[in-house]
Amino acid sequence: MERRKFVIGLGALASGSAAAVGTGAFTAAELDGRTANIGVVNDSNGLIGLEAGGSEYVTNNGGNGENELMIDFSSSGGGTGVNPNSTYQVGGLGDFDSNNINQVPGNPTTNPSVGDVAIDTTTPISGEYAFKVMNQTDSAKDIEVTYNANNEPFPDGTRLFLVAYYPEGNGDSEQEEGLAIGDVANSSNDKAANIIFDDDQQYSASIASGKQFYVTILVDVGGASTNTDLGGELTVRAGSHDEFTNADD
Amino acid sequence: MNRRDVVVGLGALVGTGALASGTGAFSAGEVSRQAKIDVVDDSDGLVGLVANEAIAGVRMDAGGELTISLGDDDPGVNVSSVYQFGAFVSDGGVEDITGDTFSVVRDGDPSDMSDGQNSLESAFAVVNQSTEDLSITIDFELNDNIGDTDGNTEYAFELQSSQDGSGTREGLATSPITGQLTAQLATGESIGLSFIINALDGTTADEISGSLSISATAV
Repeated sequence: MERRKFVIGLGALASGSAAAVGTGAFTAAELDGRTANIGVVNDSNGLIGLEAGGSEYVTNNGGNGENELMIDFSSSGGGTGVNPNSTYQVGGLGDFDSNNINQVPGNPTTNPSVGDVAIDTTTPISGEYAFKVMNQTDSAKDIEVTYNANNEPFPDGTRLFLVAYYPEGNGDSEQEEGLAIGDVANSSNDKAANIIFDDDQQYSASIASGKQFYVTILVDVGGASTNTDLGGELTVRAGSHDEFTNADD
Repeated sequence: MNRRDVVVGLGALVGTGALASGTGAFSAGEVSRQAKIDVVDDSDGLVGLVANEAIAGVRMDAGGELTISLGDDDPGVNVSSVYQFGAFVSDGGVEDITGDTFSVVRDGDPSDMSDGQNSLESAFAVVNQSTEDLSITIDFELNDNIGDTDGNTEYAFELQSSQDGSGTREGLATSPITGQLTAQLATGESIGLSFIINALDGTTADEISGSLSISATAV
């Protein structure tokens, strides 16, 4: 009989642990040996998966465990960075609408626009991309990507774009997203400063279960002098995160 | 039996979790990742532009960019002189420019960067410093004002490639010209440029200006 009470107590715990403690149905209990399976996996297998494309500058070998997505514009071939007055693009922009690409990221357009800065607008992004963000859960997810530069503001004329493409979006404006850092006309515009995929916001769609969006990186170095650090921290937020950006507010 | 009851309790707990997944398998997630993007001197770029340190007038400017500057604030080419900047693969096509007494300095593989500055004989080189094969296109545009002066400075630019350990003349420009050169470079392979200026009949007003732009695509 004593043991049976114990079981009832457990049932209360399952429906609401605070109530169970309040009624004092038992004074102490310990149950050992349950399994909670919360595996930490590498980025490509995460619920929100991050997977590098084929470039040597974006890999899944970052972090202390060498299993995190990492962007690193250096090479074992001897190059250690991007040249002054140069443009580097990792990934194609071939799927983008030739007009809408000038509306990315956000409206009003940046000047120059992604379309003006891009040096490869023919290779499809779904074939060559810097990295992709995958919704590997069983439901649609709101996902945003932000970039916190180590040193802002960037020098005049220097820009970094992350340009995103979600094939399942309904029309260009839901498919094509982007963010811009640096010398852009409207960097305070949340839509321009973040990649946002969220059904609740204008011109934006949540990422469906099992679907993914692709990201191409565009670095417009401009007159930035040697030793300028354009690096930063990429943050991917998903779901009902307190800090999720709402560009419509 | 007791164990089984416990399992029922657990089942309820799991059920709560499953209910949450109706609105999403998790409610919120966040991951942060590092991006490293440094602006470096041209010589350290993934597409490297390396000036030959032994050659006057070709150097890195204060901003880390390759520049060729002869004259203006820098020492220039004397009137009544022939100067060569960097070795040529061949002297073919430049006999008329070098005059009777000047022999063209030649090298079998002038843009060889396998031993860095020690093996570089071109005035400067474009080097693949990534680990990917690159298709590199160099657009070059050379202009002069010699038609507007009384002078008659002549010049020749040779583009060279260094691939598979051997050098090849890829192009020769001996007059105002706009052109394009494409080559596929494996890691460490390079394209070089050398030039000869003949100012035997030149004047101090003669000027040659040019620009290069380089685009590279991983293949």
